[in-house]
Amino acid sequence: MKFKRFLMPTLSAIVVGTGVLAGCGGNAGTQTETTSASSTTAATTTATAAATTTTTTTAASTSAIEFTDCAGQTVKLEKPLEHVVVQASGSGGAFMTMSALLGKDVYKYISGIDEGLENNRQDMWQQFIKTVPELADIPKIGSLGKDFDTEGILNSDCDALIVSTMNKEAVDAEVKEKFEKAGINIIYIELHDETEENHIKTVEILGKAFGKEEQAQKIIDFYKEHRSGVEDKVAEILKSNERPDLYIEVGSGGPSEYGNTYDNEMMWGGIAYVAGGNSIGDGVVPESGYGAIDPEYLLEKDPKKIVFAGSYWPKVEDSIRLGFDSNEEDTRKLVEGYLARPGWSDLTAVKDGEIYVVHHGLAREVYDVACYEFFAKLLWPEEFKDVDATATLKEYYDTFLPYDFDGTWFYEY
Amino acid sequence: MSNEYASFTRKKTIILIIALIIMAGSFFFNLFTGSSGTTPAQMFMTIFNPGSADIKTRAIVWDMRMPIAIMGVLVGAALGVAGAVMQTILNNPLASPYTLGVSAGAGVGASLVMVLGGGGLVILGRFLVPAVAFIFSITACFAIYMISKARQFTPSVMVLAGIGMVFFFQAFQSFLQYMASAETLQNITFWTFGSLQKADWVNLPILGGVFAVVFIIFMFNAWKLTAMRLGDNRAKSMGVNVDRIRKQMFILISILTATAVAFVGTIGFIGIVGPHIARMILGEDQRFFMPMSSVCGAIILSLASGVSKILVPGAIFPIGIITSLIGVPFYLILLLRKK
Repeated sequence: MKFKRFLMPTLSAIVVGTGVLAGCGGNAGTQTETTSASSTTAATTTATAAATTTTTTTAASTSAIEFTDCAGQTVKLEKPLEHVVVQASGSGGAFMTMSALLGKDVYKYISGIDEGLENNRQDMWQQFIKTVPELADIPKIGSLGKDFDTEGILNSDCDALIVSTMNKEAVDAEVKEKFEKAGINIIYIELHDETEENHIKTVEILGKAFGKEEQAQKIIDFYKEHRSGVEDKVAEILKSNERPDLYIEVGSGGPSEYGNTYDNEMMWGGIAYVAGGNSIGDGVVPESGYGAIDPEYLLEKDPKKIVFAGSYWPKVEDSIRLGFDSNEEDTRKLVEGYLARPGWSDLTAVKDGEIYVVHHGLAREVYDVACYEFFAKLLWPEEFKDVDATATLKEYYDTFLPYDFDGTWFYEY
Repeated sequence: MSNEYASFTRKKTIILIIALIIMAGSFFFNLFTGSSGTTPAQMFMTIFNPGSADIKTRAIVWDMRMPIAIMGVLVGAALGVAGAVMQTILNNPLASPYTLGVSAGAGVGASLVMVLGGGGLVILGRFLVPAVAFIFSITACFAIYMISKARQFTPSVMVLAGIGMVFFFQAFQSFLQYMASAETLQNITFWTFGSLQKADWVNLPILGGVFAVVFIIFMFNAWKLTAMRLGDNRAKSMGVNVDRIRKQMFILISILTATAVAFVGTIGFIGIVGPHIARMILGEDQRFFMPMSSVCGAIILSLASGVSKILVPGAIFPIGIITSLIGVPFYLILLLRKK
């Protein structure tokens, strides 16, 4: 009877005790393992170090390639990257810039890609695999924060992960340690903020990382030429002119949904601002930089110009379509669906026919420099009458990209 | 005795009338708020003489302000009375019209359309999402109906079945959100926030008609529902077929709530807060409690709608967030007050 009272505590003590011993024992085991492992690696490194110092004349402390990425981190590579994993393939990731740097061989350098380009920019994907069919065989490795295949990547022969600085938290949380241990570099690029500085830097560091610095310089020169062509002139114009109001909307939801507009810093708003305009979404949309406007407010503000962002959104029949798989007639009809919104027939922009459409996928890429020209021209038609955004885009495609140019990317109603 | 009863009823009627006046006030508050500078004077002119106003003002008044204001009253009233009857039949003052799966089902329906697109049903145009949301709501309710039927419609079975349904549909919803692209995900999120913005002159009469019919049927059953407030056994001894009433009322609540939610998304807490205020002021007599719940619901939603338009000038703050932010503290206070 008395014995029973001690039964439970004794049993618990035994269970806990075994657990503790097992834990300690396990740790001790691994500790001895790692110490022996590290001593062997120490031995091998000293051996290799000795070997390299005798065979090469390069200083042992500097790497062959070194640069600071867009997150301010120093990246050191022994040789140009051969296999990388990329993210945001259809929205400001490394893919398009890599295509410009590496041409038709771009698929050889990508060991893993996300589904963004294939699923959300279907028309672009279909067009790209026409000239580079091997793209379709690249393994899909998911997206950070969603379904990223960390294990699969660690198992592969990948050298680096290239992501936008917007993903930094997700990277730090999910993969940073594991990748660093496995010797996989993490390189941050930045195209979302639409700054000239980061656009150029992104091309530069990717050029260095892949050993294509000459090509990178050509791309940067192209970008600089076209962008300062816009910025310098706009600065002049703004000395004696007010910024015109414009309303930008992503035409993805059909006329019955008011899609996102932007403030003067985010994406299309940012580009329009550089081109000398003022988005009426500024001060209205939340901190994120984008959001839907109050239809009443739009009617009240009566902007001089309206710019829609179109793309290929097949799930929404009456969304505005642009891109490879579009034609001007269809786009016109779809735009007219939007112009039939209540009260719109009275808007100045509608009455004057100042309606434009730009392809939503063009932003956050180096070739968005054509978009600056498009916005500049629509805002200041006289001063920029010699500028042709479509021609600029086509030139970029023909000069740098391994894909054929086609379709409508800029539309004027 | 009858004198007392007469004055009792008269007092309640007067309070109800006052509430209706307040409702009219909140309706006008909602009607007159907005981010354009349209003055009440301009609005009245445009309402009574549409031809005199320019196209923009006409659009603002007739296509935006009026439908939204009327929708605010209708949805508030619908959710208010649905909540009232739900609380009665489940004998639980914390029940809401969403307790039995309507909102979860609707969310899945809407998300399904946004993620998969319309397919062949695209001809429905802007009615596609509401139609599918409605179908899924009714499916959820139907599932609960079948489960409850096997157990004679006891309140506890209904609530448990409802909980099961909600979890199932929420899992389905999460799956759809996982499949969605970033843009679609944003659309789904905003749909679940709720919005009166899609009110137009087609969905208003639909909701109005459904509300009118259901409300009248509710009122016809007022006496029976009041009896149920005394407990199932007491009600049965008075001759009320409690199970049948519960079943019928459940169907009506489902149809009314599903219709409202299909058009405006899942606006929360109106169905709990409205009936509670009504109960605090007028008590449990269903002849007054139900209309008062409607009126209170309408007042709250109209006020919330007005606020959503002026909180961030130029944008519309999601109304579901406002009703939840007001509703949650209120709910907790009631919970703690309950004896």
